[in-house]
Amino acid sequence: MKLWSKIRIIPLLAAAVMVFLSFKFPMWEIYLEANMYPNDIGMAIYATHPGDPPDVAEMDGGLHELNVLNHYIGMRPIRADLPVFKILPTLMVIIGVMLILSAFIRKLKMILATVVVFAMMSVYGVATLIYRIYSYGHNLRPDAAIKVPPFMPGIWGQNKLAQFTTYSYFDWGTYFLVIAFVVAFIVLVVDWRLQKKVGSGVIEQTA
Amino acid sequence: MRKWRSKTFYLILAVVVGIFLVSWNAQARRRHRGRVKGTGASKSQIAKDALKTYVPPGDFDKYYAFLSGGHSGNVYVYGIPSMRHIRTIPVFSRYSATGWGYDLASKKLMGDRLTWGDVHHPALSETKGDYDGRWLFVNDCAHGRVARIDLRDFKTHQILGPVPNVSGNHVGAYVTWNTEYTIMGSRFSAPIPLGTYAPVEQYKNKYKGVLTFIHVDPKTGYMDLKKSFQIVMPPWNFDLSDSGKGPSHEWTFFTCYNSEAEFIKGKPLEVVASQRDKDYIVAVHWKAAEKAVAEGKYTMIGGMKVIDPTKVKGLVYGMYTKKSPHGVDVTPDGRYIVGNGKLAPVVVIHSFEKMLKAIKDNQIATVDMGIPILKEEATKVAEVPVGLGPLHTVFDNKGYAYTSLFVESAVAKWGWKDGNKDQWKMVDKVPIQYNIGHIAAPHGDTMHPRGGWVLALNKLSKGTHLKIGPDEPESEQLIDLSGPKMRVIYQAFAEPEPHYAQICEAKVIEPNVFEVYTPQTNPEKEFAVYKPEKAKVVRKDDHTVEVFACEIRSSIWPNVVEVNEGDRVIWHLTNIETMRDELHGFGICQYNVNGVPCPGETMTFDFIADKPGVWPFYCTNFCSALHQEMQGYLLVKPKKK
Repeated sequence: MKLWSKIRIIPLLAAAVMVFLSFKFPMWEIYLEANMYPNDIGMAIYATHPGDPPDVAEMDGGLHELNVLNHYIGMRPIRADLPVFKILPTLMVIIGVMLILSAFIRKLKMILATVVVFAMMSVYGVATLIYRIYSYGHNLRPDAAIKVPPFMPGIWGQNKLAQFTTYSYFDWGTYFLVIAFVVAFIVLVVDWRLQKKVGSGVIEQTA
Repeated sequence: MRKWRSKTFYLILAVVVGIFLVSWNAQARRRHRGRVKGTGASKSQIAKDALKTYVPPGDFDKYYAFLSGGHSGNVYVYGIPSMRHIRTIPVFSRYSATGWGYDLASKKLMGDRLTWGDVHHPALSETKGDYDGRWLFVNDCAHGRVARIDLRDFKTHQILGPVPNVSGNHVGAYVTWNTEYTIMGSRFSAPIPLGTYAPVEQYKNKYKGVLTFIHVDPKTGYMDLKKSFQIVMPPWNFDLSDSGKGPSHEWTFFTCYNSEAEFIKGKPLEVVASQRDKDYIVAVHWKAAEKAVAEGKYTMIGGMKVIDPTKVKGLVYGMYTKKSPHGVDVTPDGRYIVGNGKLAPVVVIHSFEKMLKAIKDNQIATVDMGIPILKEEATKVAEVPVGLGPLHTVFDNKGYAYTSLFVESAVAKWGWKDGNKDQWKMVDKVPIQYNIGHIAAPHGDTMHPRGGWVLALNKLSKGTHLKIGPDEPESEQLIDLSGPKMRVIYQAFAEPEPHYAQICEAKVIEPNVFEVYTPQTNPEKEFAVYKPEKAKVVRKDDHTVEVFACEIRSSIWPNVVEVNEGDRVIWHLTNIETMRDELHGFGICQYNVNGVPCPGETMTFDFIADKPGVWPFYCTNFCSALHQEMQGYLLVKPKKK
């Protein structure tokens, strides 16, 4: 078991790096295609803010264009000052630090706490995304110039919305977190099995 | 080592999940990006399309298209189907290419103050509801003016206005079916007479909408304010108009938005004016209004005869129409009135006969700000679900209508005619590039549409052309109606900014057109000299010199003109060529004098010789083998100190 206790640091530090890397990449994107937007307009959600997709230069427009269009149907502008853009990055920093700590503090409770917090953050993130998308599509201003029935924009995959076809994707921001979580979870499972076998709260049995 | 195997298993699982996520990824979408999507037409199809629009040198287009030039103040003449730009006709703005706005006559037409206009809706004169090829009327949305272009020489002959009481004449210049009147109306309400002050908080009561019927002389086309009249309306924003034809020819129909009749400081009108689900098509019985004016039932406001329809009953009725409707278009048979829904995805069809019956039976739903509004079900016969953002409709010769869809960037085709199996049904839709505003068709707004083509006048071209920086042109697309489906087969790019267009058979116009002015048709014949030896410089008094000059290949006569510094120079210049297309230009170096008299035409320039010295003048419009030699000198003697 010595080998595991030595290499265990690698996946955990890698997971921490991935958590910090995910700040740089979009969590989620939506692209809208229509005749007049052959190269799509769209937006991306980053951990810290809503913004343009990374390839906005090749597109017909980003978040600003989307907000301009949305105002006709009374959708409120996608705002950067939502609490989630403070809470989520804070949680991610905490998780990143916890992963680093778990790499060095070889206690089962440490890695277990990390995985639990990570799982809670994931639930929080996905739930917030769904809630926000729902509420943007349902809290349309009653005095909008063009009145449309409330709608739920697509979370994933291809959907139809008025003259638009929408394409929604998760992106590397989310994927890095998912992979980091899977890695952390695997480490937890391995640690847990080893500990069961050895029967002590300390993962590494010092030689 | 079972444990190791299970660890490996978990790792493999993670990799598989990762690959799965990545495989359905935004990257895949990004790879699709290209500049513009092609039509996907086959090579043989493209060759067929090309032949439909190709007009070889020496051959002629079948149709004229007159495109409004928007805020350029001009009108553009195109050939259809080649989509070739043939000529620009300057109207409200200076155009140094022809000297428009530089010579005395055009300066007088334009007036002292305004050097731009906003041309939206050209209207060819009509006789019995079809183009007669005599005049083209164009509106000026900005300054409440209307101009008449004579189609014998394709030049502007009259600019009327600013017409009192009208702000933002977007409604014109549509004509009645025998060109009794050209129509004007206020898109922007304001206190009248214009110049009256009232804060915007008094919008509902003090601001007025004004509908105007400008009388047109049936022989000369002269527009006369004394024979014209206006109807004062609530402060609704009047958008477009169309006059009835055939059975409905005594009526004119106007769309309006902002029937909310509100303008709130700091609150966008786009929200304020969009609260009602239905606004109105306002029907005006102009024949009855004409009679009321003759009976003296008007008041003079700002020098215009103005009828108040809340006092003179039976002239004006509203018809409920979804939602902030834009264009209104009467079907070729004059029996249906099409309201283009703009903010509702439908065109609303009212029946003229039902409207008359509703008026007779007093089917009034409400009286809104003094205007009786007819019950919706009493006038409406259908709603056609055309698509998003319907703005305008034109007609073909087969009982179909074509509606422009701005939001959807498409043209919808639907049946309108009685007996057509597709009546009030959608039959086809074609995407355009992009955001179509108006739509035009050969005689497409008359009683006798010719069919075959539809011209989409698109607001945005969005990179469907070679890159030319951020100021991109509008796009005009020709839609072929010959096949079972509509097909966009040609795209041209116009100068800013065509709104509406009129498309007229060449054979209706061409017989009247002349290419050389005769001494009889020369507009300033009294100042012409037709022989070089008659050219002269006449000193009228101590401060005024009158020049009678002429041009013929390749000289300007006289070639030396001497004046004193400070003299007023009145320079008449006649192009005495009798050969068509032998234009000569005239420009004086460092003087703001410029013009291009056509063969047989006299132009007059009026300027002060305020710059002493020797100033060459020359022919600016390349004319002949010795064009470069075609010059002279203006000698301005300095004042004695």
